[in-house]
Amino acid sequence: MYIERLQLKNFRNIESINTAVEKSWVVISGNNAQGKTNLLEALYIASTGQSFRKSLLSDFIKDNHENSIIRCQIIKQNVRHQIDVQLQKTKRSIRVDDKPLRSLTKLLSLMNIVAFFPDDLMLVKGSPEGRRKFIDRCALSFYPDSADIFKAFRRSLKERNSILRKYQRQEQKLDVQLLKAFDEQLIKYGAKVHQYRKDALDELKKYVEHYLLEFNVIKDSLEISLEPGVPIHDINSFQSSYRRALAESMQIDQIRGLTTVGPQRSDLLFNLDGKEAKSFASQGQQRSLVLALKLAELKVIEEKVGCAPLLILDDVSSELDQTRTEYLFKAIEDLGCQVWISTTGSVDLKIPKENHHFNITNGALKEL
Amino acid sequence: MKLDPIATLQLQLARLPGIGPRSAARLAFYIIKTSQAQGKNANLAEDLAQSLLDVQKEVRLCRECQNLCTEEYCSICRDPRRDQSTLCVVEAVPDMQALEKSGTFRGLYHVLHGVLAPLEGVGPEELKLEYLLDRTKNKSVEEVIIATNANVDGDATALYLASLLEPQELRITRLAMGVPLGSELEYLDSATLSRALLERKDMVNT
Repeated sequence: MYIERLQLKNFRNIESINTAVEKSWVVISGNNAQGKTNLLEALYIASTGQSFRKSLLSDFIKDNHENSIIRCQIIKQNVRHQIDVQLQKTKRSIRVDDKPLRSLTKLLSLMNIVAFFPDDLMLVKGSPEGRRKFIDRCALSFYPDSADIFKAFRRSLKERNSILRKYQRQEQKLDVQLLKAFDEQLIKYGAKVHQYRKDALDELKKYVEHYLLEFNVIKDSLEISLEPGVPIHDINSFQSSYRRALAESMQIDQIRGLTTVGPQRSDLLFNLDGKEAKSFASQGQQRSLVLALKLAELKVIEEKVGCAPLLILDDVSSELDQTRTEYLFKAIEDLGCQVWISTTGSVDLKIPKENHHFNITNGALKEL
Repeated sequence: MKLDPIATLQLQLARLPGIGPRSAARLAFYIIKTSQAQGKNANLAEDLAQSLLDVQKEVRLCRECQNLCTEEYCSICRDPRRDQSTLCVVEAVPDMQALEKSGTFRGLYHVLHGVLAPLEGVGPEELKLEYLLDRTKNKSVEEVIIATNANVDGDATALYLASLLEPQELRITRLAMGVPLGSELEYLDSATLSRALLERKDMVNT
């Protein structure tokens, strides 16, 4: 899948961009605060419907304007599609091929992207939430049907928590049967969520270790494990372990007014050559690990969907040394995807000759 | 200050589900236009107003099954040919109408007018489940078919109801789930398909 034309209007500091793209490498250089990340963010929104940054709708719109427009023309498996995102101060509307979009999952499976933004570095050392988001996004890209399961799981959890909270605040007596009825929903969908995450992780594992060996970050082994968020009493049945864990945490849950066990508490653990990455990995190792995960994600999507997704790399090489950068670029070339890459130009990137090189200054794009 | 009747009508119509400000405006102007003209639609405004008053005045809940009706008991509950021993529990009146259209079910109904949704403040009291339990206990009900929707709240409601009904030693069943008639497996979502597989049926010697 690749982008053939990108149009932006009044998006953040970008007044107007309308550019055709025909090559696989798109390099955007510019000084800090000129709009590099904004441009890549627009691509991210065109794929997911939302930004990776926490923003109000009005933040997207250039000052003194009413709305902003992101329009992508893409070619996927020889078919041309057009994605239109219109952002207004109070609403966002998305059209695909001139028809209103029904669900965001549809968009995600049409315009697959894998993105690396500097904030993703927190994946290794940051909170478990970030790691859950990563694996859930992978699961969603690999198995589009999982969207309904994730939704049902979140709903069951909210319902259960609301019963517990009302009891904790003494607004209502505890109806044990009612709690049990929702426990069963939680167990049913939670077990599926766990399975989707496990399957997604198994898919990623096939490639992550290979990339890390090539990056020279590990000498022999990488271990990634999924901490289930549920004490496993019965290795044959996640459901029965989950049911038992819910029963055991009943009192704590009642006191705290929320559910303390389950897949909403799960986490990913990385072990590089036997050392826990969360406490031991250096900046460079973290960056390589995150990149290896993203390359693996891309590779699996290519296998599952049948075409390589778009790769977005924001300011990627600033902390990778020369050899690792070279290897990264070689790996991307092997993957054969379209890559949009931003750089301050402070390092000399060895980018393949067949590329577009744009400069962005104060929101204006110019091909060099 | 005197209110503008045109604007008020638009605002009233926009309170309806599925009607946005634009549709409300279109409906309002249509009603106004026809009430000014002569001809077959001339009385639309009056007819509509009368109908609205009528439903408000005459429609009430059936004392037996909570269906909407104009008399003390609805036409289904009054029909002596209906099987008094099976009771089908549904979330809402449209669900009941869909089941009626299928023509397969000849028993009685019970309309919950909602499902358990603690988030939205709907608990067992709001659904008047006590009344349903009284009904199954006092009448000669032998089977309760739970036909709530197959989503989180619908499934939880079904389980909850089953746990309440258990002591009464009735047959408690849930609508089967699986492949819709005339559909192609290829286009089925994986959740439905795996459910259909789990609940497969023997073809010979059943």
